Amino acid sequence: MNVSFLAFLSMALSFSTVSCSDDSSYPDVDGQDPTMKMASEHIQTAAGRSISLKGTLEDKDGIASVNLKCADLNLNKTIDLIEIYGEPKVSYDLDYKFQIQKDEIGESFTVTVTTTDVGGRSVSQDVLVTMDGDFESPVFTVAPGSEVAVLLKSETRFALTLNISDDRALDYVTVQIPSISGYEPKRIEANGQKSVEFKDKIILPSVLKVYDIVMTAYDKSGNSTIKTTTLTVSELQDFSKMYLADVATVEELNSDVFGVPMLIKHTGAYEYEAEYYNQKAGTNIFFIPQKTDFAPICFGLDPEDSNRLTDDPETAKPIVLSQAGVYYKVKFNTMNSTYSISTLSVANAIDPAPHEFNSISLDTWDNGGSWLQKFYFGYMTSNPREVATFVQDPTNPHLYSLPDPLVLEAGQKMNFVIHNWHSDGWWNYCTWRVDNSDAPETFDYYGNKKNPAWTEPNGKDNWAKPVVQKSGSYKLWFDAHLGRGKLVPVK
Amino acid sequence: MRKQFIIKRATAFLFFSMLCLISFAQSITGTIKDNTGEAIIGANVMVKGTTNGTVTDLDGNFSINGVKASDILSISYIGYLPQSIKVGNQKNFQIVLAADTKTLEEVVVIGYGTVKKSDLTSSISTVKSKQITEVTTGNAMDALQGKVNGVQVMSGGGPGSAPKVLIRGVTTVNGSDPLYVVDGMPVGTNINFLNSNDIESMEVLKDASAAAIYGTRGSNGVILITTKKGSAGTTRFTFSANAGFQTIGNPNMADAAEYEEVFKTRYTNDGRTPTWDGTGKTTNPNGTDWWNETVNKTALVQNYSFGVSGGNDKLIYNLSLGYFRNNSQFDVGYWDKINARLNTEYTFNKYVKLGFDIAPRVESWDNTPGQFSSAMSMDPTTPIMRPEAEWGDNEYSNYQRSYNNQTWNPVASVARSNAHSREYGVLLNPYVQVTPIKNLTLRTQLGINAHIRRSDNFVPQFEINQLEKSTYSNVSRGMTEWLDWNWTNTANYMTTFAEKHNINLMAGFTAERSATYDVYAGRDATPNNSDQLQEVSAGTLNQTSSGGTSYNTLLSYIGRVMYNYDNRYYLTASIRMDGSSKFPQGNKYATFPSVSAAWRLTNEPFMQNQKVIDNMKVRAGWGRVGNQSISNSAYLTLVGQSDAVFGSSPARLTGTTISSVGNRNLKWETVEDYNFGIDMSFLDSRLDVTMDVYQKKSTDMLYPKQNILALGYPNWNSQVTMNIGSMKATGWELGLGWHDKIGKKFDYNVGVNMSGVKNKAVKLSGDGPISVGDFNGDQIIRNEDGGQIGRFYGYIADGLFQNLEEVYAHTDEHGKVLQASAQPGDIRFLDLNHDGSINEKDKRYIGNAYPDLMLGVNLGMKYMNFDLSANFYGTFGNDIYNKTKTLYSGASGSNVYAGTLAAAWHGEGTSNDIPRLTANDNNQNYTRVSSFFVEDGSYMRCKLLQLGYTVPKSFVGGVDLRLSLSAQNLFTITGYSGMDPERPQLGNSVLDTGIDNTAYPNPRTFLFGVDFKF
Repeated sequence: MNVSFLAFLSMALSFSTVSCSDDSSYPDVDGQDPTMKMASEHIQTAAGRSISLKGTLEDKDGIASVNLKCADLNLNKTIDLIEIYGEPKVSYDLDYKFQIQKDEIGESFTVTVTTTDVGGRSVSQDVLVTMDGDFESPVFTVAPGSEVAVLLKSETRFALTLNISDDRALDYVTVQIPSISGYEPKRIEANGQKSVEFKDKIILPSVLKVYDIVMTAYDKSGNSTIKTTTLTVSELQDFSKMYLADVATVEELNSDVFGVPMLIKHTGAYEYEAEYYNQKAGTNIFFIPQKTDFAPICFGLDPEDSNRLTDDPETAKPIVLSQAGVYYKVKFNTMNSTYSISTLSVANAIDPAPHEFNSISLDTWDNGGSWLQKFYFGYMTSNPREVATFVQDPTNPHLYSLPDPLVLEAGQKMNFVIHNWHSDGWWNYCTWRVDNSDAPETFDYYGNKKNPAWTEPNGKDNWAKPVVQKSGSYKLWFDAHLGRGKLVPVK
Repeated sequence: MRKQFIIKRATAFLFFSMLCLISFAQSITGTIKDNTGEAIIGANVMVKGTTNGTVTDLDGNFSINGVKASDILSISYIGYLPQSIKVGNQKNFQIVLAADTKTLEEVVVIGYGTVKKSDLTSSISTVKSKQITEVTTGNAMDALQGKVNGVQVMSGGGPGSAPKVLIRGVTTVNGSDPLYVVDGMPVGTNINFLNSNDIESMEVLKDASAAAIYGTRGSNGVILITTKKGSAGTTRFTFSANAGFQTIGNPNMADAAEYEEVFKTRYTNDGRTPTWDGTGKTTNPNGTDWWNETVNKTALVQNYSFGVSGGNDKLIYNLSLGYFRNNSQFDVGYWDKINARLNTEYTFNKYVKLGFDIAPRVESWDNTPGQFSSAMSMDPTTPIMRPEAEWGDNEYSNYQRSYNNQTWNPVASVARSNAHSREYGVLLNPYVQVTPIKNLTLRTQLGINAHIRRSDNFVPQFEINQLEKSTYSNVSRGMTEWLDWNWTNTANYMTTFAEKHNINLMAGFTAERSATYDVYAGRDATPNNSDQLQEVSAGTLNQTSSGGTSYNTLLSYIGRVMYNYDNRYYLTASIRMDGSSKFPQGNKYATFPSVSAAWRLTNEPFMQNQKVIDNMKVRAGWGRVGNQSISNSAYLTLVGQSDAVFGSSPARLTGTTISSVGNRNLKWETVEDYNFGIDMSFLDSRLDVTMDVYQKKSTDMLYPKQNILALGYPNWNSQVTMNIGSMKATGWELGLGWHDKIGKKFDYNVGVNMSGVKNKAVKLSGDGPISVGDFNGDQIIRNEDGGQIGRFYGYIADGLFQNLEEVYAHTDEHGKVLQASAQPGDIRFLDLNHDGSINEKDKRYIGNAYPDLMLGVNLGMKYMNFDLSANFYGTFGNDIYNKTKTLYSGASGSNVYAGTLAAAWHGEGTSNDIPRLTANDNNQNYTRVSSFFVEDGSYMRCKLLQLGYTVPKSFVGGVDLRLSLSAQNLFTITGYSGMDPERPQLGNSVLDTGIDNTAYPNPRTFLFGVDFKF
């Protein structure tokens, strides 16, 4: 009896011992170090890109954790597998992404991957990370638009201007126009430079015809970008869109997100009307039917007769706006090359804003003014409680800007309206929206409240969705009188 | 022969007896003192078996004529052990009465009767007058803190606010306060109106076996209050005065310089340009200390009471007058009350007694403006007033609007505060008691509690700024009348048969009615703000008015049997049947039974030979109690006026609609209670120990459940009260009491009360968790079925990111960044489910508003003429959601705690608690419900420290004069960083508590007192 009791007691104790061990620790199976095989021992990358640290880790005792460490990259991550999975893993496929910072200037780094098993045994392996990866294709920073027109002349010419850049090293660029007989394809050697410029004056047959221009840029890593332009030789067209360009270079024409050049009104056949606020005296302006280049058509003053316009970008002189702080109105006719200029004072200009900016006038509950709050509007992406307020220009009360720059990523599709702030998040008291994402600089008023003097009908309920071409910091300007905005790089 | 002999002897005996009576009748004198040598005034000295007797005078002297040597003197005085002394040949007696330290024979008030404490079978605690009046407070319940085990009293809220009282946890969401019964008259759930000095004793009926006799409203416990009665003998006058002041600690906010730096740093840390208004540099170069400008350093508190009592064998009386006043810490706000009470009882003969108690009162108060929060957050660069040159006629418009935030000027808000109320009330308690035969007492009592309140409110027209103004003035008046009556009829029969069988029977019925009549009127736009025009008729716009009548009635039948055998085995059973107007036909009546038993082991023969245990009794009880704290019309579907906007040319139209949805199946909420307890005394009754364990569980808990919207009722009133919930409270209590003396001059006593209770929501609405406590669009507290109530639910803040390495490492196992906006100095929130994002699924219970342990320690000492009392109370294991931590953020331009620049993270290792300063707070450091805000709310507070000195009678002409110095809430031992760890427990409701909203904290009070008796 006593023997049985002792046997029972020992068994109970041994069970309880095993049980306790299972609860609090993991017994060894083979007591060996973990094994680790990284998918790559050298990763080429670049600032702002992610690296993937992949590998297969095994340990029969059970892997407790994996540590990834690189002090220079501020990387020190421990993946606690027991915490995540509730138990150690016999095998684990490491797949960890790490973002290299955009401002990283280092060239080479070593990431140490350490696998530790439940017995505390660990094994490490280094992965070399170098910043010499080439992931970006060349970019045509200056190139003709997808469709350009050349006017039929006695000698019909097309001035081709290209500017191509690459984040690493360009190899070469080719230009082909197969349908022009005798035009030899061009190959421009870049010799590993980061950018290359190419200009060519192409003489076209003086016949009405359409040509395809194919331009291809290659970098040293074999990444390529193809750009095509349909070139039409035609009589003078009644261009459906005409833009006002107040910048001097093709680069400036192409550096904005929207607003440069600025779309103007097409008021009749061959007739256009531009309204423009001149911030500084001596501003030079041209009118162009294509957005990205001054060629092939650029309307400016005829050097022979300053009362007339010419369409030749090589000879056209700018229209000079001499008076600062006023709105200029320019009307012109491309068929008969005439134009006229007048001005409108800021005081006489109106905009649809219902109240004076920053005044205590917002009718919070829209009930006749039982509770008035501060009225202001600005850049809004979510709701009227979260409005980045504009700053009003001290000279022109219709002109506003966002004091803090917008930091935008290439490829980002923006989504915003201009709206007033409201403590309760009420909508559409005062708002401007974009009807057409193809012309995101054109804002129509959509508010329920408006300046009684403003008689324009409201626009549609759309949201501006311009796509950012190049990462960077941009400043937003908005002219409530013109209903125009521009988002240009911060200088 | 033998017969003759007997007759002769009897004749001789009679002769000698007559001779003795004639020959030895004499006068005796004497002095009665206590064991400290103090004369006892008013002690009864009677010749046993006769009506010959007297009471002692101011010096404790007495004199009685016609006393024989064979007589026995019987000396008695309340609080002292009675003595019997044979006269013999002695003519002068120096008698010393010993204090009665044994409390077993103490009589305890129970529902509809009294019982010796030794005969109790249920859990009842008693608090005596001295313990109540030693604390100067407007509500006697404040004095119970830490003195009654299982009773949690949570104070705070400024003048006139009532404490929250929980007896043995929470089993309902329908009003957690106990029922108060004053001299047999139920008076509701607030005893602010009562003068603490009028209270003789308070009995707390904690378990259902005690409270079931009050079945209907006993689920939260019952507190029986007995007011002071007169006694036959010398007329006694008493006067007490306590006056002093209260203080509230200064939270120490940043001065103008630090505020400006914090303000700007928040923006520059985000790479933004500060939107700073620096006008204060020129208009207010020294800055403004808004706390000191808004909150007064001291607030007056005073309490005076005068009483006279006495009587003879026919009439006894007790008359008292009292005045209490408590000012708020602001220039505006106070509460005062004038109480009078006359308790009389006339004994016509041995059969009939008539009693009449009348207690009129007047209460007045000005609402206390809640400006603590504004005083803490207001921009300190802003001056109080605008430059004098800009002043206009309207004094309320001359204050300065905050330069750098949206906080309204707190000094201006206090100046505008103008809400006054006055209440007149009377409590009447006439009764007749008839004893037709021995041991049978019939009693009928009609209690009336009537009061009328007038509340006037005026909001002046003013315009400090477009964002800080009232376009129109508003004036309103509300009048409310409460009329409650209660008719109680009982028959009580008490007898002992066969020497060892003691029985006490009670039966009765009660009827009561509570009615409220109210009317309200208000208008906007008086011609100006002058005092003379603060009348409703002076308003010119937007007239509003309302009024109504509401009442409920209750009819009850009660019965109780108390039996004990040989003072060893006790059994008590009671039953109450209640019929309430709050429930529909068929469900109006409910029965609430209880039974309890006790066994006094120390009266058993086998315990007679031991000396260690003086008393030991085990108790067990079970009972059911009810709750009907719902709207009088909860079972009725009502129609009311409503308006809505209709049509393409919108117009507001008035009509009728369903205003509330009733439930024709509504019935009583019931709580079932089990209690087991032990009472013990050791070491010559110097050590008392009481232990209790209990469980209370409610069923059919009344709860407003969301109705089915498909029924078509309007969304805003679609809730319907239903019997759907259940809650459970499980707890324990341990009380230790020690009293002794060292030498002849030093008496002391120590009491320790410990208790704990877990409150569980077995089932609430069935509609999912009930989340309360708004915080940036989220809720702090989550109450769910099967869990404890009052728990905070949010994200777990795992310290601050100290460097970029820690920010980058905060990913899932595949490197997905968990907090994309985080920077060093921001809070790290844990992804507990490892799904790669911080979302609702990562919330956990991060704190509990209810404590694990409540501890009260009460000390008393007396040395010669000095006495010292000290009461400590604390709670342990409870948490507080400290919203005031946002005062480190400067959010929305708010002012911050002094030292924020150093306290907030500003570099690696500078802080692991207070996040970096940021205007955007993209990481939501201060807007997520998280454990960052949760702090241990445990505290131990010195509730009272009182030093008294009794002036020797020889100095003051033989009267009792005691002087005292007191400090209430003198110090608090706590790790909590907010202003007051006690105040958040007051909460909004039992489900919504433990959140620090910067409400009126418990002040520290210093008092000087004089007690005068003769």
